[in-house]
Amino acid sequence: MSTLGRFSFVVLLALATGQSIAHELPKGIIQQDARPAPPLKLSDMDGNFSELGQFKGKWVFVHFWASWCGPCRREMPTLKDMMDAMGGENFHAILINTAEDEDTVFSFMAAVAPELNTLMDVDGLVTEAWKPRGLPATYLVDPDGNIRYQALGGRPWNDSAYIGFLKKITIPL
Amino acid sequence: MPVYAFRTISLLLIFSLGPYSRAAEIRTPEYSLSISARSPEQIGAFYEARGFPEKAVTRLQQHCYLTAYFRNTSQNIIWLDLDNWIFHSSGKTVPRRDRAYWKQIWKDMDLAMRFQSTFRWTLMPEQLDFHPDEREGGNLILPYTGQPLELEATIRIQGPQSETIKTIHMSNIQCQR
Repeated sequence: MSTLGRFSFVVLLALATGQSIAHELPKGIIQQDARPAPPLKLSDMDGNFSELGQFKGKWVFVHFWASWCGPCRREMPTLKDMMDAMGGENFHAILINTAEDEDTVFSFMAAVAPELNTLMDVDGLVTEAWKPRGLPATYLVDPDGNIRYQALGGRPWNDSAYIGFLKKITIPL
Repeated sequence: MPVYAFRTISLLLIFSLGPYSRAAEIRTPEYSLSISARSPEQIGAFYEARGFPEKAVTRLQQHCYLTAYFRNTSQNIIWLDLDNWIFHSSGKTVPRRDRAYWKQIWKDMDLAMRFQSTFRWTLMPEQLDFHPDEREGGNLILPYTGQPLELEATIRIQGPQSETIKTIHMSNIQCQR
């Protein structure tokens, strides 16, 4: 193959790959111009701190929720299924409760998703900094710490279309 | 009754379009919008269950509380800006109590940040570009009136070549008391 031929092949392959990702976005997932994720350092219900920077090198699924939000309640069990399917090699999921107290969150999680833990944004300021469109809100942060995708509202994350998409983007280059 | 069960009930009360809600609804091929009035009891049940102090709940209950749901059923982006949503009653404009209004109320009341945050998230977004199939809901708060309300709203639909402005008219919206 000539140099021009090899170049054309690479360009076409890149275009095809890019287009296939763009075209295969599951319903309700929008691609965003990469921008640095806002700071995120919070503790969970057991008092253990997490911050976004410690997951650099992995895709991070950042999910904001509240117990009073109907779609959040429906979505929560699907998050557990999705996390089990994804594993943790190149992927980490962070749940963040927006501005509720521990009793409320503990009761909710015990009833809806007892195996999940969540970070607590006690005063709601971290949520504000991320500027969600509404609750629930999910962002996908790339291994360099940039927001690359956002989910519109609640999604059935255990559906094969969403798991397939997440597996596709988290494959190491 | 378990605590979470009570909270679930209050959640359903505030978000369901049940027989005690008076809903106005518009459906077009491009969007749907529903507006339901909430009673002071519904407002109280929701915010009290979230631990809001009584003085804050009482303040909210003195207002006309409308829950709106907007859904983009088109294949285009629809821009919503609440500055372009005007409520009228008996020929007069009824000013919406926006986020800045409530921020000052809560500041004067020294309301804890977590309650302010939860309250803000229960409000309808002030501006939003609705993507295809996106739906968002939230509350609109007005001074109470016993007279029927009318809504005149404009939305912008961004087509591939041009943008169109559509006017939404809803009438006979009734505050609950």
